[in-house]
Amino acid sequence: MTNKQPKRIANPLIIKILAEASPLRRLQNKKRVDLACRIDDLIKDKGYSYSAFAKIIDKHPSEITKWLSGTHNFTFDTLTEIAFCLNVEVVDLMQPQPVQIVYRERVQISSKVMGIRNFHPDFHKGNCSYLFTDERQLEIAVPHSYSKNYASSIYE
Amino acid sequence: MNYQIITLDEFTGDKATIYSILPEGESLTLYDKFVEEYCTDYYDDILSIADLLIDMGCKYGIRENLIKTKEGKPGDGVVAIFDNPDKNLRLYGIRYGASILLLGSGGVKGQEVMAWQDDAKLKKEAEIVIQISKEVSKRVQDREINISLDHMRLTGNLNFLNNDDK
Repeated sequence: MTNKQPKRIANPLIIKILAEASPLRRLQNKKRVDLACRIDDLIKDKGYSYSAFAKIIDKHPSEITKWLSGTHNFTFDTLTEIAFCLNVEVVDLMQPQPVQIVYRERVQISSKVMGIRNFHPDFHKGNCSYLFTDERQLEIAVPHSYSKNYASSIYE
Repeated sequence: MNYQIITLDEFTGDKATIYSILPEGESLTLYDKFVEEYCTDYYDDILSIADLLIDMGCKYGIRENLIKTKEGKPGDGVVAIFDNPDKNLRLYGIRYGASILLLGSGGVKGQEVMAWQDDAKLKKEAEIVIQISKEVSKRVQDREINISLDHMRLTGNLNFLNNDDK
């Protein structure tokens, strides 16, 4: 089996579009995605499906999908409504989700593990060596005694 | 169609690897052609999609809320990427987990078009992506293509250069 790929030179047109775009416009694009992902995280943290959240906020599910697509320009009233229904402050919608690290000897994994990062520096001195990242970017520390292969076979 | 799967380095980051399709004998990938075709009339949409791809590659991965899933056949991973659901430009791709996205091409979905099957251009582009998904899936089943342990990369034989000979 071969894994050789032809070297592609980035399309100058795309580079030009990105370089010439207004920095403000690009920041707006980024912030919309950040906000959408933060709201999506909070909805999932509360255990709601999109349709359940749509019922709570009294909107059509397609409206929720649109909000979370990372392209919606929210009004402050809409953000207040979302924060109210999620029982958080509006400012919480603007802050990035803190990375959660679970320090446990045994952990119950309910979601699919997406990747492994070896020997995270924060864990070198402690009891844990491996950091697993699940679908929602939750990082899970696993004790030294678990070999990488063993641990991945458990969770996959 | 004979083609190779190649990495789009400008979008690939710590969270996801973004690939596209390079047809045999051509210098532009399907994504590059999509940009060239629509950058004049849909400049803002192309820019938003490019920024979204950078965010997916470097920050969020291929999150389901940022794309439209289930655009192809059941289970084939075909998705659509759009600037805004209310706007018209659609880019089709294939999602493999939260960290791999293979981009094809797309087109304009007019207000009168309910589904891609109703528009000749969208149908053509979506069907190309659906066919590629089928071919990649076959290689994954045959263990000719694997997904790396960190779920970030496609490894193995990414050259589909003998398709037309079959």
